[in-house]
Amino acid sequence: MFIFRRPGAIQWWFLVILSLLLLLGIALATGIGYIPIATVEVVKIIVAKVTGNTNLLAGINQLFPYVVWEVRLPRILTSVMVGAGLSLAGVVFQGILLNPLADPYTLGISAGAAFGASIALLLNLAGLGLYTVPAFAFAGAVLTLAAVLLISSFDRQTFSSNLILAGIIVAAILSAGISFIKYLADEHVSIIIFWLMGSFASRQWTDVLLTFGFVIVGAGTCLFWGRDLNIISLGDRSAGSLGIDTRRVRIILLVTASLITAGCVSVSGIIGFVGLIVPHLMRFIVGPDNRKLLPAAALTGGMLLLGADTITRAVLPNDIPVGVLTALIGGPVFCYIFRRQRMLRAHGAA
Amino acid sequence: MGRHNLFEIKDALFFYGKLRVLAGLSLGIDSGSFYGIMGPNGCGKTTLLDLMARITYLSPGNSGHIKFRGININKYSRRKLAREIALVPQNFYINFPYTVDEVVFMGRHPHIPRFGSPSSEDREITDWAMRVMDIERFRDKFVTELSSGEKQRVVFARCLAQDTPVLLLDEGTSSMDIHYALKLLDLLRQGVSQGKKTIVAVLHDLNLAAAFCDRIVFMKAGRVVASGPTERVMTTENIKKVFNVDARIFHDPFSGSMQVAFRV
Repeated sequence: MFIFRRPGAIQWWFLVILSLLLLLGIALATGIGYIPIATVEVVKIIVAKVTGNTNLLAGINQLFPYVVWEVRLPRILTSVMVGAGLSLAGVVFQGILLNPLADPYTLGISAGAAFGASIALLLNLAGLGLYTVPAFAFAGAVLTLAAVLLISSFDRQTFSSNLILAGIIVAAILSAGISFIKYLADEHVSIIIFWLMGSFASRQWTDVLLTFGFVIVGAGTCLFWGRDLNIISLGDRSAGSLGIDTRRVRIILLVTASLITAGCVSVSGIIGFVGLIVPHLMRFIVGPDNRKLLPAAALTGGMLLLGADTITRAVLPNDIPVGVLTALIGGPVFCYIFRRQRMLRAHGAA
Repeated sequence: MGRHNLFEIKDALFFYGKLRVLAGLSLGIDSGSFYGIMGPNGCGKTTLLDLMARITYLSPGNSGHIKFRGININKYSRRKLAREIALVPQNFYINFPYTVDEVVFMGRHPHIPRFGSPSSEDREITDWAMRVMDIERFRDKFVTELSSGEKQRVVFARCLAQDTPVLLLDEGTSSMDIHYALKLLDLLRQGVSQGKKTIVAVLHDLNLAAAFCDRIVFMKAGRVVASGPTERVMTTENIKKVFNVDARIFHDPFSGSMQVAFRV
């Protein structure tokens, strides 16, 4: 598995290949669907839309630009952004919790975002128009983060392990809260349930821009602190003596990763296992250095969720929620990796 | 300025929850010496080192202070302090598959600007540190695959790569075999003799301390019981008082240093 790893050369070419694959994937996926469209035509339509050169559209079915630009691309780009965002958040949470098996949901952040969004859906609020659900998800995520930090920060020495415990406790309470909301939500219950399962159906350009904003700003912040995050993995005492203000870096990165998670959850609902598995797999390939791991995980996560969403959209009947698919496939894959890693460790120690 | 030019710790109080770990400890450290800190388990040795590296702070409401080079240690930026003081922690735990080379190179972190590239000097010091710790041949191995003694040598190399005038060791040799423990202490001894380093080491082995340390600090229950030149402080009475064991101290012509023999 460590083919790209030794002898420590930087795998920038690997990132370039991932980027090209992602672009190719987007073009291919846009062509797939109820109305098949040739990849060449997809590229022409996108270029024409971006540059405003309508000559390129000559000879293309008049319906196609609408299908590509208004129906498919927003959904596809949203799925790519959410996949990238969840993977980034996964890398950061794993790096901070010093646990390669941690994930964005362990801290209860996504449960908080889901709880906030459920309230907005239950009360049928529309005060902020399209941004009502994201705003509530965001508030839920940030309040949850604050609660988790408050619960776990009584003791600096055991801060990391306390974070997980506090996250699990808070998530359990919030899940009960979400169940209660579902119980209250007579006629809206199907909307909430479908949203909670995670779906990219009928996404629009506003969704794309919203997640794009969260993910790009988040990615920049994470990369800025990438080297500090590397050193935090040596433990607090070592990192502190190497000149890192561990508490500050931790809080900055936790808030950033929570914002990314909130941005993703608010447009897509709960999509599990992407943030867990992608960072874990990429660590095998590019190594644990966050300056390489963050971009590699973001690109791969985008590709993975694009693939999963394309399957639910174009292959499976009835557009089942993508969150169900990622959990069904991701769960067993995760079990396999987890078991294999434990076995390797057990044999390595013997 | 106090009498001690490097560290001046005065009336330090430290509480871990309700437990009083340091009970008004005062200690001075001068540069250019090899200090051995000794005492029974739980007497506050690790906390003392953590305070000196500013991993932790004096408990609030403290009348005491810690000065480093005559200035309150809290006034330093973390980065500046990391170029002055390195800490070899007691436990080393890493869950991510970094290579040995990557971990040792992290020691250069306080010397490399955020957006700067490492210089050839950074590379040279890292290579030198791996060479003297004899870990060069597994530089591309993952630290997660190493034995605890090998890991400790990696941590040590990292602290050497950090290239600081002050080195704090929290039982830095506990997992190493005697060959590497002696080699390492001898290397540090040379650094001190050449006037380049000041070492403050928590050691459990009284004989190693007697052989390598210029000065011994005996601690008990969060206080300094005795402190001074090794030949004056390493006495039967002090060992009895601190560890509650009967010891005999003699000069050993083979090693050329003081040695301690015990009887329960």
